[in-house]
Amino acid sequence: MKKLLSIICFLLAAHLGFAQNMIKGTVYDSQSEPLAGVSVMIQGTKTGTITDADGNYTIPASKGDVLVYSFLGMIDNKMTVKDKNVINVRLMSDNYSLEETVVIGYGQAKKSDLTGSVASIKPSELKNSKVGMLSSALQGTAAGVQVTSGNLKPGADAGIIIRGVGSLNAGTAPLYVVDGVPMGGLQDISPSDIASIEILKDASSAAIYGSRGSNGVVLITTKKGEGGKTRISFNAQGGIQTMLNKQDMMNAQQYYDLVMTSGQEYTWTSEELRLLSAGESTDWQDAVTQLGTFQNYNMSVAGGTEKMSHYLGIDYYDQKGIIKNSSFDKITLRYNMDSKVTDWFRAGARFNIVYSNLMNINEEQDSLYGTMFSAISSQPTAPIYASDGDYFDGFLNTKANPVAMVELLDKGTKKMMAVGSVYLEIEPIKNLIIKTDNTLQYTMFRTNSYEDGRMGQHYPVDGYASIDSNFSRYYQTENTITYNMDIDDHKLSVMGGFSASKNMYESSTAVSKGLNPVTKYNNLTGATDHGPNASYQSANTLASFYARATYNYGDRYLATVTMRGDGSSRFAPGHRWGFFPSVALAWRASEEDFLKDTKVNNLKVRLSLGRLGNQNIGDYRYQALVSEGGSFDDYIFGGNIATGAQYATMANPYLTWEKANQLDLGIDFGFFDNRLAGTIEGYYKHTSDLLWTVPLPYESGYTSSLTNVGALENKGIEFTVNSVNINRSKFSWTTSFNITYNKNRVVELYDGKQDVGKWIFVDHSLSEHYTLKNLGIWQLDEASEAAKYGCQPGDRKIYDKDENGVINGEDRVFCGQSTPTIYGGLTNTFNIGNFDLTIFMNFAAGYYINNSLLRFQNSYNTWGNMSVDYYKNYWTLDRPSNKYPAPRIGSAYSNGDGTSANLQKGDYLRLKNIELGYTLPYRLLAKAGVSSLRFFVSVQNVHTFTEFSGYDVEAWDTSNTYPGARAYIGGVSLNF
Amino acid sequence: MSKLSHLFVAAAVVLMAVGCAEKEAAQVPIAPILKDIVMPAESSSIPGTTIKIMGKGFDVSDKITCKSKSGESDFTPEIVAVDDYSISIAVPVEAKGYYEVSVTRRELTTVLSEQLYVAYVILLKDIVLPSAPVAQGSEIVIEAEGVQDGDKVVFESAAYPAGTEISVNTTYSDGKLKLTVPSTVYGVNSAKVVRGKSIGNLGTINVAVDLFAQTAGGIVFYTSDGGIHGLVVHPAAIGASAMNWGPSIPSNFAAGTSADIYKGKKNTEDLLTQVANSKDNYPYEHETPAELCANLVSEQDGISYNDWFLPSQNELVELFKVKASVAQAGFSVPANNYWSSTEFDYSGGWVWAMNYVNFYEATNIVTTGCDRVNWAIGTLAVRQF
Repeated sequence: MKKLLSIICFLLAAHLGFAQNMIKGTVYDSQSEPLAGVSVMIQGTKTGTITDADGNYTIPASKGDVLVYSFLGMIDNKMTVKDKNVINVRLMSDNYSLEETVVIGYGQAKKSDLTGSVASIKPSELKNSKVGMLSSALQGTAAGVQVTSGNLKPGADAGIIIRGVGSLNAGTAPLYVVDGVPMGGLQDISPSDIASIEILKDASSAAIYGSRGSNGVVLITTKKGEGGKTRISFNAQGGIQTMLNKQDMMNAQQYYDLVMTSGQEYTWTSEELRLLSAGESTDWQDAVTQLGTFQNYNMSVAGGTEKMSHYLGIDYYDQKGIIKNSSFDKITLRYNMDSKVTDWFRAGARFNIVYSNLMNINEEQDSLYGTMFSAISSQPTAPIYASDGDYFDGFLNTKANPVAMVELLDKGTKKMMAVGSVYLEIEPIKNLIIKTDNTLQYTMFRTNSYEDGRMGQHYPVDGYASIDSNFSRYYQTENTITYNMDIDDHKLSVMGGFSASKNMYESSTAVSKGLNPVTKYNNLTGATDHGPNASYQSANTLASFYARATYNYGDRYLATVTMRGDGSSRFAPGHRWGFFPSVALAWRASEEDFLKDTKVNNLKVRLSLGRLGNQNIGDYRYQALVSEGGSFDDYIFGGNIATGAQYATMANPYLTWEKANQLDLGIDFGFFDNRLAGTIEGYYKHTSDLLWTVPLPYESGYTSSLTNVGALENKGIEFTVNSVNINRSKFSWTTSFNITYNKNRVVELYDGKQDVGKWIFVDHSLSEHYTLKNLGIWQLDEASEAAKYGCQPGDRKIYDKDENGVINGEDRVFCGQSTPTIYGGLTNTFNIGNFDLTIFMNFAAGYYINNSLLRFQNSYNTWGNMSVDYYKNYWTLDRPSNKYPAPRIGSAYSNGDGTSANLQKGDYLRLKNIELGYTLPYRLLAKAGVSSLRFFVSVQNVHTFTEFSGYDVEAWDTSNTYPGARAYIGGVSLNF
Repeated sequence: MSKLSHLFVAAAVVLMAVGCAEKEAAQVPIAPILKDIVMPAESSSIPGTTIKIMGKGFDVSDKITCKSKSGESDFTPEIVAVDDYSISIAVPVEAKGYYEVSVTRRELTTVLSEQLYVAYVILLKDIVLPSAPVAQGSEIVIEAEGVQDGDKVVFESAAYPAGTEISVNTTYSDGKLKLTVPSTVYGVNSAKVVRGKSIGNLGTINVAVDLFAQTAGGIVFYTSDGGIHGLVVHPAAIGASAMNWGPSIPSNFAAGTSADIYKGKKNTEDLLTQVANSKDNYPYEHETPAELCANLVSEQDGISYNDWFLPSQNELVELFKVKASVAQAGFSVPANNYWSSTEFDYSGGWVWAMNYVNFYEATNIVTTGCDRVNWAIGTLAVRQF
């Protein structure tokens, strides 16, 4: 068939040979930027050309010729010459381009050569989350990568969990590595500086990071300049944010009605009664929130000569949160330089300075005093201001006036981070590269806090100030030697290295009470009461040897062997060294003859196996620690306080790494010129030697000991697919979709235990909900049955599992797991003329959230306000609801604590971003020297489909969370 | 194609507007909610003054309406002050009796569950009363802002039998009341103006009496302080003329009596207490002289006197000294020995005797202790003012 077509084409070409025309046109990328250097060939011939700097081409072709446009990293496009002489073409980027190089630990590799599981995220994919930190922008972008947010306050860094929770006490965060330097998180990184993000998920790819790799590794590479044209880029974006999911709480009149109905002895104040009579109500959520604003500007200059290239990036981010007085601003300066001193000597440097300033909301340890929880629970009958003009201070439980809290709390964290690294690279003989990369990093942050006594009874009358000051230093040297050999079909690359790093941390806290409210924490000397003050310092070191060998036979058979040995000061002498090996094999079936010249462009089967570690246990934990001083240790001697000391923890010299053994089986595929490409992958991760605080008998003198016990497993399937559905010059549509299924299971605990504190159970997922089962409300016709349990109609009905007539802990049942089993993302991108439209959705399913707000909202709560839903649906004789208990004080389990009543399905589908862009036609800009100019508008967090009723389904703090927001953003991007 | 672009733009705009609509709850005022209402006590609820109603929920914009439940006219007082625990209103001079109080705010009204009681008080100012003691039968002038024609003046005195008020008609002219002091008025009086149910306090008017005048329930036989205090004898001996006191009792039952003038009343009260205490162990066959006096009720000028007592030793001696003049005034004391209310001061440990006064003598004062059990003598009752 193919041959027949070729013959017909040939004949047609011969026939139309006379009618050969000069075909002209421009080739653009998906952002409507002209592409230079695109190869334009007439299919089946050797006739061809390449596009010039402005993406233009001219080629002689006849009607019926098929023009093939190809460019590295783009999916080929084919156009048949018809009547028109102008053919403009758009090339879509190929997310599965096999020729593209990706960054792997201590090196880079062609995508086609990868044997491990590496997800690459391009900077353009980060635009789906413009407000907030980089970490939250990763949500839904890659399979196996789950982003969890404690809350959504400005400047909050989200957590990332790769392939399931793999630890209980040693941290679940992946290792973040930015240009080879480990970082605590992604808060300090400006997205505009990022060239690529790679996520190393399996043992083979992450084993090179050994003892820090068990939770996966996030590698970030920042941009660098290229020799030739200097490119200047300027981006500005800004917008507003509105609060989402405002909780529907009762107004003052409903609250009054309910309190009067319940018979609660409530001491009404005159202020409340006046407000009630006026028909007014205080909406505390409105009172503490505002329209948030956000602006972000960045500029970069990239360029250089053949010998030297540089990149300079400046980024300013400023966000005023939706809670009053909360804000985050950050300025980032980055300078990257690479120089080729001689043919065999290269050197370069990376500098990054970040200053940020966070104004926080009240996040007390007891979240019930926090800003948002106070706003929800404060009675709507209370006015903001008392009749004497002061803040009203007659709250039931929260004791703090939410408005006073947002207006008076002064809690700011200033952070300064400077990191610099310099590398030297020599190539004494061809393909042998010796490199040393040395880094210094300094981080300072300081939190100044002042709690004004006017915030409420809960706070010291004359004010409370504290200063937390922290300083950390990090030194690192990484030295590698790499040799690449390429003989016929055999390609071998060997890399070995040595690394050493030291991390030192100092912290001090000063506390004073009774201060001048004007000078606050700026003059602690003026306070009447000082202390307790505290300070400490700690340090840890890590020395490592690592090696990796990759072998490629005929581009068909690939193998990688990796080994890292880590020596960590966090473990006792004699137990400091751990070894983390891995091996991976891959077969590129698509390179075999039987698949060549078929629709299958790529088919690779990968298998990897290895061991990774987790050393995030804190410093000095193997030693017996002595605590000295403080209210727990001091004692009275001779009428004076004497400093006391005591053993705080027991030594455990056998303390060792958590070990994660991982197996990964993956298939990469690409069909139809890679227009349909993706990966399907299964993994099994078994973590053993879990770090556990095992309870000890009290006669030991200790309550617990940190010990390695137990095992945990995660297994799952990941599926990613990218497709180019339509690709016309004026209309294109691409889709990328990823979904992950993860199953978490506790394999064993210690001492043969089947559960720990009825909280963690063998054969169940970690933190599975194990609680009494709520069956609704006892009804009138069940009065006699209810009486057996000491209940009456209108009380909450609990499932009596053992049917013994008593509700107790033995009646608890499993009520679903608390972390998603399924999650993923879906992006659809359309290009229509010069418009581009992106629609991004992410989702998660298969879990239940314990919405702790409901315990206050949906039962009679003598401490504060309740929901309108409760008001309309609580049980009464005339309205026998099965939803919420009657407002009867003392009704058992009424607030749902200890029962499944407050569990809500966490399943959600979020329309996270709709972005519409318009790129000005290049012809209008060329004269001004502008290479592209794009305007866009975007709405983020457009809508979330979920049963969860809290502020944000993605935030795990449900009681005092920072509410989610919808952002309306506009921006411009200008490139020269 | 451009149409398609427009469609996309339009769709995007619509999507961006999703969720922009916000509910706005209408504010519907309701009648004032007022809690913990406590009305002022009668003593603090005087017409023409500012009174304070305790309670929560009052507002400066409130309008108070007082509707009389006692047939008086309604009033709408001015709000003087409002705080978180009370509202103060100016009560007009005419206000009196019970009122239903309603509070109106934003044209919505709440009726308070408790009623306001305004005391029946005549507010008098710039009162001028006779400064010196006046005599019975004399005409006096009372000057005060606030008096009216038809007002009565009522005299009360601690010296009068309990509940005794003497009301006197007056004539009014030019802010003054004129009246004649009746013979039933004597001693230290607190005078008040009475108009219907309303009362206005005037102050103290002292009425001096002459010795041997027939007033105050009997015949005045002793005065002090220019005649505004004194002693009065009942114009007849009471009880049997020869009557023993009763059983002899141990000294620890002594009432602690005194021989002094103006102590007879107190002595009598103390003796009555002791008689009551010892009645079980020391049976009395008849009323003691102290009880006879206390139980005596007599009438003079239409007024009933029930506050008689057994005179102290010296009071009885005073009567003995002026018994001739008393006889001239209408009461010739029968010749007899008479019990006094003063116990005989005997340090031997037994109170077996009372003092008595010998009225057989013409002028010679004979008074000493006598045996309670074996002596049988007479009783005279006196009262004081």
